[in-house]
Amino acid sequence: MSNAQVGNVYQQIIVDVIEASRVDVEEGGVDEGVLEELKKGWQKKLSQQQLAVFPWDPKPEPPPPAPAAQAPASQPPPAASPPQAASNGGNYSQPQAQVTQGLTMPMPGGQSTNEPQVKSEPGVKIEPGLESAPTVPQAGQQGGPIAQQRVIAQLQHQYGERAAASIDKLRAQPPNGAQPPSQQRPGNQPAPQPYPGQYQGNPQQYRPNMPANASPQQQRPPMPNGQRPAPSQMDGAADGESHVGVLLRQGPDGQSTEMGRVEIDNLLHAQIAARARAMEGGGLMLPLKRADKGKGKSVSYHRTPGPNEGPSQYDGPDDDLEEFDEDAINSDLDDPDDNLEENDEDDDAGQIMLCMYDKVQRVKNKWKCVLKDGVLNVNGKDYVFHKATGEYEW
Amino acid sequence: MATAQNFYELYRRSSVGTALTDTLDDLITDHRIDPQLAMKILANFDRAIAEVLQDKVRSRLTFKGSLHTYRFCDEVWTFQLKNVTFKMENGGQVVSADKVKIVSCTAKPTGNAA
Repeated sequence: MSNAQVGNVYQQIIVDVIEASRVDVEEGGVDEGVLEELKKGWQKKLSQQQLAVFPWDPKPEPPPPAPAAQAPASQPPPAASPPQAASNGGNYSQPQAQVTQGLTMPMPGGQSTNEPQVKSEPGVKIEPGLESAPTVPQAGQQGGPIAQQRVIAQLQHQYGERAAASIDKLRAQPPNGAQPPSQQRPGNQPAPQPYPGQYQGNPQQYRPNMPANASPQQQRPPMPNGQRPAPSQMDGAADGESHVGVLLRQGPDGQSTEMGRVEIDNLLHAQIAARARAMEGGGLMLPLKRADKGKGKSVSYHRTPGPNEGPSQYDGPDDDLEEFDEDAINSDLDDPDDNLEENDEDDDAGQIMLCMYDKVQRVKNKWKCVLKDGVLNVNGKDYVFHKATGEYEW
Repeated sequence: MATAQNFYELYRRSSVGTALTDTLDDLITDHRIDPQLAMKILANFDRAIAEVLQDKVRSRLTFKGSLHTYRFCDEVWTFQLKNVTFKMENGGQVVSADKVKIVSCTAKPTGNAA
Protein backbone atom coordinates (compact mmCIF):
# COMPACT_ATOMS: atom_id res chain seq x y z
CA MET A 1 0.00 0.00 0.00
CA SER A 2 1.25 3.36 -0.77
CA ASN A 3 0.06 6.84 -1.21
CA ALA A 4 2.47 7.59 -4.03
CA GLN A 5 0.87 4.95 -6.15
CA VAL A 6 -2.57 6.40 -5.79
CA GLY A 7 -2.13 9.10 -8.38
CA ASN A 8 -1.18 6.69 -11.11
CA VAL A 9 -3.79 4.18 -10.14
CA TYR A 10 -6.54 6.75 -10.22
CA GLN A 11 -5.26 8.12 -13.47
CA GLN A 12 -5.45 4.66 -14.91
CA ILE A 13 -8.96 4.23 -13.63
CA ILE A 14 -10.05 7.51 -15.12
CA VAL A 15 -8.58 6.70 -18.49
CA ASP A 16 -10.18 3.28 -18.47
CA VAL A 17 -13.56 4.64 -17.55
CA ILE A 18 -13.42 7.34 -20.16
CA GLU A 19 -12.39 4.93 -22.85
CA ALA A 20 -14.95 2.36 -21.85
CA SER A 21 -17.66 4.97 -21.78
CA ARG A 22 -16.93 6.31 -25.22
CA VAL A 23 -19.12 3.69 -26.81
CA ASP A 24 -21.91 4.33 -24.39
CA VAL A 25 -21.70 8.02 -25.03
CA GLU A 26 -21.90 7.52 -28.75
CA GLU A 27 -24.79 5.15 -28.40
CA GLY A 28 -26.54 7.69 -26.28
CA GLY A 29 -26.15 10.24 -29.03
CA VAL A 30 -24.26 12.58 -26.76
CA ASP A 31 -21.45 14.80 -27.84
CA GLU A 32 -18.11 13.28 -26.99
CA GLY A 33 -17.01 16.53 -25.50
CA VAL A 34 -18.93 15.45 -22.47
CA LEU A 35 -16.31 12.83 -21.82
CA GLU A 36 -13.58 15.40 -21.69
CA GLU A 37 -15.72 17.45 -19.39
CA LEU A 38 -16.32 14.45 -17.22
CA LYS A 39 -12.63 13.75 -17.04
CA LYS A 40 -11.80 17.30 -16.11
CA GLY A 41 -14.47 17.52 -13.49
CA TRP A 42 -13.52 14.19 -12.04
CA GLN A 43 -9.88 15.07 -11.80
CA LYS A 44 -10.69 18.44 -10.38
CA LYS A 45 -12.82 16.96 -7.66
CA LEU A 46 -10.08 14.55 -6.75
CA SER A 47 -7.47 17.26 -6.70
CA GLN A 48 -9.62 19.36 -4.44
CA GLN A 49 -9.60 16.65 -1.85
CA GLN A 50 -5.81 16.53 -1.90
CA LEU A 51 -5.92 12.82 -1.42
CA ALA A 52 -2.61 12.32 -3.08
CA VAL A 53 -0.35 13.76 -5.72
CA PHE A 54 -2.01 13.28 -9.04
CA PRO A 55 -0.23 13.18 -12.37
CA TRP A 56 -2.64 15.68 -13.85
CA ASP A 57 -1.89 18.22 -11.21
CA PRO A 58 0.75 20.81 -11.93
CA LYS A 59 3.70 20.13 -9.71
CA PRO A 60 3.37 23.21 -7.58
CA GLU A 61 -0.21 23.16 -6.57
CA PRO A 62 -1.52 26.64 -7.20
CA PRO A 63 -3.02 27.93 -4.04
CA PRO A 64 -6.67 28.66 -4.37
CA PRO A 65 -7.16 32.30 -5.21
CA ALA A 66 -7.63 34.15 -2.02
CA PRO A 67 -11.01 35.80 -1.98
CA ALA A 68 -10.54 39.47 -2.54
CA ALA A 69 -10.80 41.21 0.73
CA GLN A 70 -14.09 42.96 0.71
CA ALA A 71 -13.79 46.58 1.43
CA PRO A 72 -15.79 46.96 4.55
CA ALA A 73 -19.03 48.64 3.76
CA SER A 74 -18.76 52.12 5.06
CA GLN A 75 -20.71 52.01 8.22
CA PRO A 76 -20.89 55.68 8.82
CA PRO A 77 -20.68 56.65 12.40
CA PRO A 78 -22.77 59.57 13.66
CA ALA A 79 -21.43 62.20 11.31
CA ALA A 80 -21.96 60.08 8.27
CA SER A 81 -24.19 62.11 6.06
CA PRO A 82 -21.57 62.98 3.46
CA PRO A 83 -20.37 59.39 2.95
CA GLN A 84 -23.93 58.30 2.58
CA ALA A 85 -24.56 60.87 -0.03
CA ALA A 86 -21.45 59.75 -1.79
CA SER A 87 -22.45 56.14 -1.66
CA ASN A 88 -25.75 57.07 -3.14
CA GLY A 89 -24.11 58.96 -5.91
CA GLY A 90 -24.77 56.40 -8.59
CA ASN A 91 -28.37 56.11 -7.73
CA TYR A 92 -30.72 58.37 -9.55
CA SER A 93 -33.17 58.43 -6.74
CA GLN A 94 -30.72 59.91 -4.36
CA PRO A 95 -32.27 63.34 -4.28
CA GLN A 96 -35.65 61.90 -3.63
CA ALA A 97 -34.44 59.81 -0.85
CA GLN A 98 -32.81 62.74 0.67
CA VAL A 99 -35.86 64.83 0.28
CA THR A 100 -37.75 62.30 2.22
CA GLN A 101 -35.00 62.13 4.66
CA GLY A 102 -35.12 65.82 5.12
CA LEU A 103 -38.80 65.62 5.68
CA THR A 104 -38.78 62.65 7.89
CA MET A 105 -35.97 63.57 10.08
CA PRO A 106 -37.59 66.56 11.60
CA MET A 107 -40.58 64.48 12.41
CA PRO A 108 -39.46 62.44 15.33
CA GLY A 109 -38.12 65.33 17.25
CA GLY A 110 -40.10 68.05 15.64
CA GLN A 111 -43.61 66.87 15.94
CA SER A 112 -44.24 69.38 18.54
CA THR A 113 -43.73 71.95 15.86
CA ASN A 114 -46.35 70.38 13.71
CA GLU A 115 -48.99 69.99 16.25
CA PRO A 116 -49.13 73.58 17.18
CA GLN A 117 -50.06 74.32 13.65
CA VAL A 118 -53.00 72.08 13.87
CA LYS A 119 -54.34 73.74 16.89
CA SER A 120 -53.37 77.27 16.34
CA GLU A 121 -53.77 78.22 12.75
CA PRO A 122 -57.29 79.15 12.08
CA GLY A 123 -57.05 78.52 8.39
CA VAL A 124 -56.09 74.95 8.98
CA LYS A 125 -58.34 74.57 11.87
CA ILE A 126 -60.75 72.60 9.77
CA GLU A 127 -59.64 69.42 11.28
CA PRO A 128 -62.78 67.41 10.69
CA GLY A 129 -62.75 68.23 7.03
CA LEU A 130 -59.07 67.69 6.78
CA GLU A 131 -59.18 64.45 8.54
CA SER A 132 -61.13 62.98 5.73
CA ALA A 133 -59.40 64.93 3.05
CA PRO A 134 -55.83 63.96 3.80
CA THR A 135 -56.64 60.34 3.69
CA VAL A 136 -57.69 60.59 0.11
CA PRO A 137 -54.55 62.23 -1.12
CA GLN A 138 -52.65 59.71 0.79
CA ALA A 139 -54.35 56.95 -1.03
CA GLY A 140 -53.70 58.80 -4.21
CA GLN A 141 -50.07 59.00 -3.35
CA GLN A 142 -49.80 55.30 -3.09
CA GLY A 143 -50.77 54.88 -6.68
CA GLY A 144 -48.42 57.64 -7.66
CA PRO A 145 -45.21 57.37 -9.57
CA ILE A 146 -43.09 54.33 -9.12
CA ALA A 147 -40.33 56.56 -7.97
CA GLN A 148 -42.28 56.99 -4.83
CA GLN A 149 -42.16 53.36 -4.05
CA ARG A 150 -38.54 53.34 -4.84
CA VAL A 151 -37.98 56.08 -2.43
CA ILE A 152 -39.67 54.08 0.22
CA ALA A 153 -37.68 51.05 -0.65
CA GLN A 154 -34.50 52.95 -0.60
CA LEU A 155 -35.34 54.49 2.68
CA GLN A 156 -35.79 51.10 4.13
CA HIS A 157 -32.63 50.01 2.47
CA GLN A 158 -30.62 52.74 4.04
CA TYR A 159 -32.62 52.71 7.14
CA GLY A 160 -29.94 51.50 9.45
CA GLU A 161 -27.34 54.02 8.44
CA ARG A 162 -29.68 56.89 8.46
CA ALA A 163 -31.05 55.90 11.73
CA ALA A 164 -27.61 55.88 13.18
CA ALA A 165 -26.93 59.35 11.95
CA SER A 166 -30.21 60.82 12.93
CA ILE A 167 -30.34 59.09 16.23
CA ASP A 168 -27.08 60.51 17.22
CA LYS A 169 -28.13 63.92 16.17
CA LEU A 170 -31.37 63.67 17.97
CA ARG A 171 -29.81 62.19 20.98
CA ALA A 172 -28.52 65.55 21.92
CA GLN A 173 -32.05 66.81 22.08
CA PRO A 174 -34.49 66.40 24.91
CA PRO A 175 -36.59 63.34 24.33
CA ASN A 176 -39.83 65.21 24.00
CA GLY A 177 -38.67 67.39 21.23
CA ALA A 178 -39.51 70.56 23.02
CA GLN A 179 -36.30 72.18 21.96
CA PRO A 180 -36.44 74.97 19.46
CA PRO A 181 -36.76 73.77 15.91
CA SER A 182 -33.77 75.78 14.88
CA GLN A 183 -31.68 73.11 16.47
CA GLN A 184 -33.10 70.45 14.29
CA ARG A 185 -32.59 72.21 11.07
CA PRO A 186 -28.89 72.69 11.27
CA GLY A 187 -28.57 69.11 12.25
CA ASN A 188 -30.58 67.87 9.35
CA GLN A 189 -29.52 70.11 6.64
CA PRO A 190 -26.17 68.60 5.82
CA ALA A 191 -27.86 65.49 4.60
CA PRO A 192 -30.34 67.00 2.16
CA GLN A 193 -27.80 69.40 0.74
CA PRO A 194 -27.82 68.22 -2.85
CA TYR A 195 -31.48 68.37 -3.52
CA PRO A 196 -33.15 71.40 -5.02
CA GLY A 197 -33.97 74.13 -2.63
CA GLN A 198 -37.63 73.76 -3.13
CA TYR A 199 -38.36 71.38 -0.36
CA GLN A 200 -35.73 72.75 1.82
CA GLY A 201 -37.18 76.17 1.59
CA ASN A 202 -40.74 75.36 2.30
CA PRO A 203 -40.37 73.73 5.62
CA GLN A 204 -38.31 76.62 6.72
CA GLN A 205 -41.05 78.99 5.92
CA TYR A 206 -43.02 77.52 8.67
CA ARG A 207 -40.40 77.84 11.25
CA PRO A 208 -41.67 81.19 12.36
CA ASN A 209 -45.01 79.71 13.18
CA MET A 210 -43.75 76.95 15.19
CA PRO A 211 -41.83 78.56 17.97
CA ALA A 212 -44.82 80.60 18.87
CA ASN A 213 -46.97 77.58 19.50
CA ALA A 214 -44.26 75.15 20.07
CA SER A 215 -44.43 73.94 23.60
CA PRO A 216 -48.04 73.94 24.70
CA GLN A 217 -49.12 70.99 22.67
CA GLN A 218 -47.21 68.26 24.35
CA GLN A 219 -50.06 65.91 24.80
CA ARG A 220 -47.72 63.09 24.22
CA PRO A 221 -46.87 60.70 26.98
CA PRO A 222 -43.40 60.23 28.31
CA MET A 223 -42.40 57.66 25.76
CA PRO A 224 -43.67 58.96 22.49
CA ASN A 225 -40.38 58.16 20.92
CA GLY A 226 -40.90 54.50 20.43
CA GLN A 227 -43.81 54.44 18.07
CA ARG A 228 -43.50 57.52 16.09
CA PRO A 229 -41.03 56.74 13.39
CA ALA A 230 -43.24 54.45 11.43
CA PRO A 231 -46.02 56.84 10.56
CA SER A 232 -43.78 59.81 10.19
CA GLN A 233 -41.49 57.96 7.93
CA MET A 234 -44.28 56.79 5.70
CA ASP A 235 -45.55 60.27 5.38
CA GLY A 236 -42.15 61.56 4.65
CA ALA A 237 -41.61 59.22 1.79
CA ALA A 238 -44.95 59.99 0.29
CA ASP A 239 -44.67 63.71 0.66
CA GLY A 240 -41.80 64.06 -1.68
CA GLU A 241 -43.90 63.08 -4.65
CA SER A 242 -47.43 63.75 -3.67
CA HIS A 243 -47.76 67.45 -3.76
CA VAL A 244 -50.03 67.59 -6.73
CA GLY A 245 -52.67 65.47 -5.15
CA VAL A 246 -52.58 67.48 -2.00
CA LEU A 247 -52.81 70.65 -3.92
CA LEU A 248 -56.12 69.66 -5.42
CA ARG A 249 -57.52 68.93 -2.06
CA GLN A 250 -56.29 72.09 -0.69
CA GLY A 251 -58.23 74.22 -3.09
CA PRO A 252 -61.48 74.26 -1.14
CA ASP A 253 -59.64 75.45 1.92
CA GLY A 254 -58.79 78.66 0.24
CA GLN A 255 -55.15 78.39 1.05
CA SER A 256 -52.44 79.40 -1.32
CA THR A 257 -51.21 76.36 -3.14
CA GLU A 258 -47.55 76.23 -2.27
CA MET A 259 -48.16 76.92 1.32
CA GLY A 260 -51.03 74.55 1.39
CA ARG A 261 -49.07 71.54 0.35
CA VAL A 262 -46.53 71.74 2.99
CA GLU A 263 -49.03 72.62 5.58
CA ILE A 264 -51.16 69.70 4.72
CA ASP A 265 -48.17 67.55 4.88
CA ASN A 266 -47.41 68.81 8.28
CA LEU A 267 -50.98 68.34 9.29
CA LEU A 268 -50.86 64.81 8.08
CA HIS A 269 -47.77 64.17 10.02
CA ALA A 270 -49.23 65.61 13.10
CA GLN A 271 -52.49 63.81 12.82
CA ILE A 272 -51.01 60.48 12.10
CA ALA A 273 -48.53 60.90 14.84
CA ALA A 274 -51.32 61.85 17.17
CA ARG A 275 -53.29 58.79 16.17
CA ALA A 276 -50.33 56.60 16.62
CA ARG A 277 -49.92 58.02 20.02
CA ALA A 278 -53.56 57.54 20.79
CA MET A 279 -53.39 53.93 19.69
CA GLU A 280 -50.31 53.56 21.67
CA GLY A 281 -52.41 54.38 24.65
CA GLY A 282 -49.88 56.65 26.18
CA GLY A 283 -47.26 54.00 26.11
CA LEU A 284 -49.44 51.29 27.50
CA MET A 285 -48.58 49.04 24.66
CA LEU A 286 -44.88 49.43 25.16
CA PRO A 287 -43.02 47.03 27.31
CA LEU A 288 -41.86 48.85 30.36
CA LYS A 289 -38.28 48.14 29.74
CA ARG A 290 -38.41 49.35 26.23
CA ALA A 291 -40.25 52.48 27.16
CA ASP A 292 -37.56 53.33 29.63
CA LYS A 293 -34.86 52.63 27.19
CA GLY A 294 -36.41 54.63 24.45
CA LYS A 295 -36.73 57.53 26.76
CA GLY A 296 -33.23 57.48 28.01
CA LYS A 297 -31.50 56.53 24.88
CA SER A 298 -32.59 57.55 21.47
CA VAL A 299 -35.38 59.37 19.86
CA SER A 300 -36.72 57.67 16.86
CA TYR A 301 -35.32 54.90 14.84
CA HIS A 302 -34.50 52.78 17.77
CA ARG A 303 -37.48 50.73 16.99
CA THR A 304 -35.29 47.94 15.83
CA PRO A 305 -33.20 47.69 18.93
CA GLY A 306 -36.34 47.89 20.91
CA PRO A 307 -37.91 44.71 19.62
CA ASN A 308 -34.60 42.99 19.91
CA GLU A 309 -34.46 43.80 23.49
CA GLY A 310 -38.01 42.72 23.89
CA PRO A 311 -37.48 39.18 22.69
CA SER A 312 -34.47 38.80 24.88
CA GLN A 313 -36.70 39.65 27.71
CA TYR A 314 -39.19 37.06 26.65
CA ASP A 315 -36.59 34.47 26.05
CA GLY A 316 -37.09 33.32 29.54
CA PRO A 317 -40.50 31.79 28.88
CA ASP A 318 -39.22 30.17 25.71
CA ASP A 319 -36.36 28.60 27.51
CA ASP A 320 -38.72 27.34 30.07
CA LEU A 321 -40.73 25.75 27.35
CA GLU A 322 -37.72 23.98 25.96
CA GLU A 323 -36.74 22.78 29.32
CA PHE A 324 -40.22 21.55 29.75
CA ASP A 325 -39.86 19.54 26.59
CA GLU A 326 -36.64 18.10 27.75
CA ASP A 327 -38.26 16.98 30.92
CA ALA A 328 -40.98 15.27 29.02
CA ILE A 329 -40.76 11.53 28.97
CA ASN A 330 -39.23 10.36 25.76
CA SER A 331 -39.49 6.95 24.35
CA ASP A 332 -36.70 4.57 25.16
CA LEU A 333 -36.50 3.89 21.47
CA ASP A 334 -35.03 7.34 21.10
CA ASP A 335 -32.00 6.47 23.14
CA PRO A 336 -29.50 9.10 22.09
CA ASP A 337 -26.65 6.64 22.46
CA ASP A 338 -28.07 4.47 19.75
CA ASN A 339 -28.33 7.36 17.42
CA LEU A 340 -24.81 8.34 18.19
CA GLU A 341 -23.55 4.95 17.17
CA GLU A 342 -25.44 5.04 13.94
CA ASN A 343 -24.28 8.51 13.14
CA ASP A 344 -20.74 7.55 13.86
CA GLU A 345 -20.92 4.84 11.33
CA ASP A 346 -22.29 7.12 8.72
CA ASP A 347 -20.08 10.05 9.49
CA ASP A 348 -16.97 8.00 9.29
CA ALA A 349 -17.31 7.69 5.57
CA GLY A 350 -14.00 9.44 5.34
CA GLN A 351 -12.14 6.81 7.31
CA ILE A 352 -12.98 3.81 5.29
CA MET A 353 -11.41 0.83 3.66
CA LEU A 354 -13.15 -0.78 0.75
CA CYS A 355 -11.78 -4.08 -0.31
CA MET A 356 -12.36 -7.78 -0.93
CA TYR A 357 -11.72 -10.40 1.65
CA ASP A 358 -10.03 -13.67 1.06
CA LYS A 359 -10.26 -14.96 4.56
CA VAL A 360 -11.74 -13.90 7.85
CA GLN A 361 -10.90 -15.98 10.88
CA ARG A 362 -11.68 -15.65 14.51
CA VAL A 363 -10.33 -17.43 17.54
CA LYS A 364 -12.10 -16.28 20.67
CA ASN A 365 -11.77 -12.56 20.53
CA LYS A 366 -8.85 -12.46 18.14
CA TRP A 367 -9.56 -11.80 14.54
CA LYS A 368 -7.40 -12.27 11.52
CA CYS A 369 -8.32 -11.40 8.03
CA VAL A 370 -6.73 -11.32 4.68
CA LEU A 371 -7.95 -8.62 2.39
CA LYS A 372 -7.09 -7.63 -1.10
CA ASP A 373 -7.65 -5.08 -3.79
CA GLY A 374 -8.54 -2.30 -1.48
CA VAL A 375 -8.67 1.41 -1.36
CA LEU A 376 -8.24 3.04 1.98
CA ASN A 377 -8.97 6.59 2.98
CA VAL A 378 -7.38 7.60 6.25
CA ASN A 379 -6.69 11.05 7.60
CA GLY A 380 -7.56 12.68 4.33
CA LYS A 381 -5.19 10.57 2.26
CA ASP A 382 -5.89 7.71 -0.04
CA TYR A 383 -4.00 4.46 -0.19
CA VAL A 384 -4.34 1.45 -2.38
CA PHE A 385 -3.19 -2.04 -1.66
CA HIS A 386 -3.10 -5.33 -3.33
CA LYS A 387 -3.07 -7.35 -0.20
CA ALA A 388 -3.59 -6.57 3.42
CA THR A 389 -3.57 -8.61 6.57
CA GLY A 390 -5.21 -7.37 9.66
CA GLU A 391 -5.16 -8.59 13.23
CA TYR A 392 -7.37 -7.15 15.85
CA GLU A 393 -9.04 -8.00 19.12
CA TRP A 394 -12.65 -7.53 19.86
CA MET B 1 -12.69 -11.15 -15.33
CA ALA B 2 -15.05 -11.76 -18.13
CA THR B 3 -16.75 -8.68 -19.41
CA ALA B 4 -20.13 -10.18 -18.73
CA GLN B 5 -19.30 -10.45 -15.08
CA ASN B 6 -20.91 -8.14 -12.63
CA PHE B 7 -18.66 -6.06 -10.51
CA TYR B 8 -19.11 -4.72 -7.09
CA GLU B 9 -20.46 -1.28 -6.72
CA LEU B 10 -18.58 -1.20 -3.49
CA TYR B 11 -15.88 1.11 -4.75
CA ARG B 12 -18.31 3.82 -5.66
CA ARG B 13 -18.06 4.86 -2.05
CA SER B 14 -14.37 5.50 -2.37
CA SER B 15 -13.07 8.98 -2.92
CA VAL B 16 -12.43 8.37 -6.57
CA GLY B 17 -15.90 6.90 -6.91
CA THR B 18 -17.66 9.74 -5.16
CA ALA B 19 -15.70 12.22 -7.24
CA LEU B 20 -16.99 10.51 -10.36
CA THR B 21 -20.52 10.37 -9.01
CA ASP B 22 -20.49 14.02 -8.16
CA THR B 23 -19.20 14.93 -11.57
CA LEU B 24 -21.87 12.86 -13.21
CA ASP B 25 -24.44 14.50 -11.03
CA ASP B 26 -23.27 17.87 -12.21
CA LEU B 27 -23.51 16.80 -15.81
CA ILE B 28 -26.98 15.45 -15.28
CA THR B 29 -28.04 18.61 -13.58
CA ASP B 30 -26.78 20.59 -16.55
CA HIS B 31 -28.65 18.25 -18.87
CA ARG B 32 -25.44 17.30 -20.59
CA ILE B 33 -26.10 13.62 -20.12
CA ASP B 34 -29.05 11.59 -19.04
CA PRO B 35 -29.07 9.40 -15.96
CA GLN B 36 -29.01 6.20 -17.96
CA LEU B 37 -25.70 7.12 -19.47
CA ALA B 38 -24.42 8.01 -16.04
CA MET B 39 -25.35 4.57 -14.80
CA LYS B 40 -23.45 3.01 -17.64
CA ILE B 41 -20.42 5.08 -16.87
CA LEU B 42 -20.63 4.08 -13.24
CA ALA B 43 -20.79 0.44 -14.29
CA ASN B 44 -17.68 1.04 -16.35
CA PHE B 45 -16.10 2.49 -13.28
CA ASP B 46 -16.98 -0.57 -11.24
CA ARG B 47 -15.13 -2.70 -13.67
CA ALA B 48 -12.24 -0.36 -14.24
CA ILE B 49 -11.37 0.11 -10.60
CA ALA B 50 -11.65 -3.57 -9.86
CA GLU B 51 -9.36 -4.44 -12.71
CA VAL B 52 -6.85 -1.75 -11.97
CA LEU B 53 -6.69 -2.64 -8.31
CA GLN B 54 -6.22 -6.23 -9.19
CA ASP B 55 -3.71 -5.83 -11.95
CA LYS B 56 -1.73 -2.70 -11.27
CA VAL B 57 -1.41 -2.54 -7.55
CA ARG B 58 1.26 -4.59 -5.88
CA SER B 59 1.68 -3.02 -2.52
CA ARG B 60 0.95 -4.79 0.70
CA LEU B 61 -0.08 -3.63 4.05
CA THR B 62 -0.66 -4.89 7.55
CA PHE B 63 -2.76 -3.31 10.19
CA LYS B 64 -3.61 -3.85 13.82
CA GLY B 65 -6.23 -2.44 16.05
CA SER B 66 -9.11 -3.21 18.31
CA LEU B 67 -12.30 -4.38 16.79
CA HIS B 68 -15.27 -2.40 17.92
CA THR B 69 -18.04 -3.96 15.91
CA TYR B 70 -18.24 -6.62 13.29
CA ARG B 71 -20.99 -7.64 11.00
CA PHE B 72 -21.39 -10.23 8.36
CA CYS B 73 -24.36 -9.92 6.13
CA ASP B 74 -24.96 -11.02 2.57
CA GLU B 75 -21.37 -12.05 2.23
CA VAL B 76 -20.19 -8.62 3.20
CA TRP B 77 -17.99 -8.10 6.18
CA THR B 78 -18.17 -4.81 7.96
CA PHE B 79 -15.68 -4.00 10.66
CA GLN B 80 -15.33 -0.99 12.83
CA LEU B 81 -11.84 -0.69 14.15
CA LYS B 82 -10.48 1.66 16.73
CA ASN B 83 -6.94 2.80 17.29
CA VAL B 84 -5.72 1.27 14.11
CA THR B 85 -2.16 1.31 12.91
CA PHE B 86 -1.41 0.66 9.27
CA LYS B 87 2.05 -0.38 8.20
CA MET B 88 3.12 -0.28 4.61
CA GLU B 89 5.30 -3.07 3.64
CA ASN B 90 7.35 -1.16 1.14
CA GLY B 91 8.00 2.27 2.49
CA GLY B 92 7.75 1.34 6.13
CA GLN B 93 5.29 4.16 6.38
CA VAL B 94 3.03 4.04 9.43
CA VAL B 95 -0.39 5.61 9.56
CA SER B 96 -2.60 5.69 12.61
CA ALA B 97 -6.26 6.40 12.89
CA ASP B 98 -8.71 6.54 15.73
CA LYS B 99 -11.44 4.88 13.79
CA VAL B 100 -11.64 3.06 10.53
CA LYS B 101 -14.48 1.28 8.92
CA ILE B 102 -13.82 -1.65 6.68
CA VAL B 103 -16.33 -2.82 4.14
CA SER B 104 -15.26 -5.95 2.42
CA CYS B 105 -16.94 -8.12 -0.15
CA THR B 106 -15.98 -11.64 -0.79
CA ALA B 107 -13.25 -12.18 -3.29
CA LYS B 108 -14.66 -15.49 -4.29
CA PRO B 109 -16.01 -15.46 -7.79
CA THR B 110 -19.33 -16.97 -6.84
CA GLY B 111 -22.26 -14.83 -6.02
CA ASN B 112 -20.38 -11.60 -6.17
CA ALA B 113 -23.07 -9.55 -7.73
CA ALA B 114 -23.50 -7.01 -5.03
